[in-house]
Amino acid sequence: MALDSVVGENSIVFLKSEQFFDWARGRSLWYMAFGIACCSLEGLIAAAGPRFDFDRHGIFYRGVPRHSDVMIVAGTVNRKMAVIVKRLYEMMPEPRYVISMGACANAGGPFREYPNVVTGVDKIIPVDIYIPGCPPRPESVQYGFLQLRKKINDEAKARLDK
Amino acid sequence: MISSDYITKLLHKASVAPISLEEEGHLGLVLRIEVDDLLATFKALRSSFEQLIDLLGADLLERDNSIEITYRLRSLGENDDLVIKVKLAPGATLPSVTDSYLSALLPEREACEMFGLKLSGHPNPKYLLLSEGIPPMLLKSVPIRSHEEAQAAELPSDDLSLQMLNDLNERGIEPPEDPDDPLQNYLFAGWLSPEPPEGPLVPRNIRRVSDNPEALATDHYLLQMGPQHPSTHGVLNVACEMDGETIISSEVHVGNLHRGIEKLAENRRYNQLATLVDRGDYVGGCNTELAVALSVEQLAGIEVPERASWIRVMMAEINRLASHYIWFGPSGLDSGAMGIFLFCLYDRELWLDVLEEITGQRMMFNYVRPGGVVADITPRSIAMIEDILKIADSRLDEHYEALMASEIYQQRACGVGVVSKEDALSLGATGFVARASGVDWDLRRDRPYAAYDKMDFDVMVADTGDIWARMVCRLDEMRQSLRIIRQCLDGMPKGDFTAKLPRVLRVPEGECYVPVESTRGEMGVHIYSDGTDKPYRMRYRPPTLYSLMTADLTLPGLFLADAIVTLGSFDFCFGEIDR
Repeated sequence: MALDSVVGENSIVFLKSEQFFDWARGRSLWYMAFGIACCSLEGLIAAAGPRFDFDRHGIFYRGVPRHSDVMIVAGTVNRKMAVIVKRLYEMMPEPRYVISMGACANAGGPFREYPNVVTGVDKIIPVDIYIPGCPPRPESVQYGFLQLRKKINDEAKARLDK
Repeated sequence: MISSDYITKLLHKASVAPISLEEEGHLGLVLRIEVDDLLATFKALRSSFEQLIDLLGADLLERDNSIEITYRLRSLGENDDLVIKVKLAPGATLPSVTDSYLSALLPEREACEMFGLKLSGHPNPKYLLLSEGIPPMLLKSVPIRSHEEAQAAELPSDDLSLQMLNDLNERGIEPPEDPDDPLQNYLFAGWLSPEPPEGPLVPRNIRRVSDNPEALATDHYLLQMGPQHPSTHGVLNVACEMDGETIISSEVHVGNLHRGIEKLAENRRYNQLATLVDRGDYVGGCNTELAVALSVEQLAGIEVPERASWIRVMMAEINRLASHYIWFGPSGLDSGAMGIFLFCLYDRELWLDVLEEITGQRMMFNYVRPGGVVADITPRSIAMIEDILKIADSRLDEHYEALMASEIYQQRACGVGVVSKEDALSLGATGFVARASGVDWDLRRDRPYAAYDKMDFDVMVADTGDIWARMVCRLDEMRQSLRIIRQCLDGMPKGDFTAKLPRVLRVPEGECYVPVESTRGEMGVHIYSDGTDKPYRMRYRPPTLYSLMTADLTLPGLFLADAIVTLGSFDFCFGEIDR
């Protein structure tokens, strides 16, 4: 939302710094380039491509967890991978957000019967947004990001109202 | 053709007495031997068969109280296969055949851990895919979870994972002190051999620095690349021993995406298998579905309508193009070229639109099923393909100009990551990896399946075996795919798109193996059927598991930056490596 359209051109705006940071935070959600399985093609690669172009929302990939705000868990997490997912989450700076993408990350998906598979990444790390689908289309992921932005703004509002 | 007399003569010379040597149903020539004769047999046959194509186990405990290990050897010159079967008692020791065929390195570890066998004579007998606390999963006595159990399942506690993390830093260099301690073995996950092997734990053929400290200019350090690394193309973990910027030795760790496709396939009907294998090779799903469908059809004796075969070929080629784009773009990204990544994704979306129009999905098509395909191609999809074909060839020229014509890229790619022809054969590399090293072999041409015998296309073979050769081979594959799609559109016969099949497909007892040339090499499906509506055992030969061993061999001696380009050029797909 362009500020101009709300307050008019050349205005001076007073707001709390926390409010400003939360506004900015929702508009540069950098996700970690961490594709586990099939979903990474849709949620990470096609998302960065020219058709879906998440970049226009300020959503782009970073190679390092230290630079990332969002972790998209895109694929099946098994016992071996669970340790690494947790470690990567702990490497991310706060505030950090997790999007659980696809049936596998949500609840084990078609592989939940196999004992090596973790049934849902929320058993390891806290999850903010769940995206259903196997695999979800890039549009769904985009909608998920917009919901995450809304969640960030709502949380900020709730904190300020307190 | 290799005659059974010839093999009998070879075995006689090595004084091996086979149990039987005869044609068995769909499998072709099968040689059954005792375990004690295994190594002598392989030694005798090594010169006649260039490649060990696959190795799989099967749990026949209920039938004759044994675990059956099946080896498939291939002679490329004669275009013939030989199947070797040995039977082992449960928990027995399997002698390793890595002395004869290096391609057994990883599959042997997998077979032994999955069936609870011990492994002897192997240079690196660790668990491959499973992690601690998981029983040998492919045994029939080990059940899978019910839905309720899955929901209630809990993970090890936080403390445990912290200790495991400490262990993570150690692996690859030192064997665990106590092989029975599950904490120490989290990623080693124990040993398959009765005792840990002596000496440093590096794969065979990998150079090790001398123990003399004065010979070393710098300290060596361990670098763990992956599983989160933007250039490993999935969850590959490579433990590299580094001397400055140079890799001295390396070892690949896989299993981070192991999710039991083979085990779950035993609990799915034949019609439902496509859903699972789609998620195996998730980039080129149509080819894998085709392998499953062809093998079920061969076992059940189903006649496929002509039109269905042509549609299958067309879809396999469209999918091959979509898959190659996702390799061509990111391999530019690996060497620092960002633009080509976006160009390739743009083109890929065009083909995905076609796939979506025909199958209803962008990925995970579930389209090729036993008997034919799910839906006919639509007039709109034909118009879409025609539109893309008009520009596709010139777009490929543009991609070539954008990446490969650049001198900077040529310097990165030429002469780097060289795989010799001998290595490619001995490590079981197939597809473009083998062709780039001078192996003139393409299953579409040499063992035509579906309607490939009616198509006119060329097979590109290079002989340098470096990154450049792999790029050129695959770029040419894309051009040939365009040619095949054009022929499919022009010559598509009329008729049904699927055969009439019963709702529940029961397949007669038997065993068969059908390979197809998938996007990454030979994708084969080996099915044991026991006459019910579900496979008794399904093995799915992952082509990139074998090219992963090939890649591992090329890493020592490279700079780290070159290693990333090299790994990218092999185009791994971890869904199929780990299954």
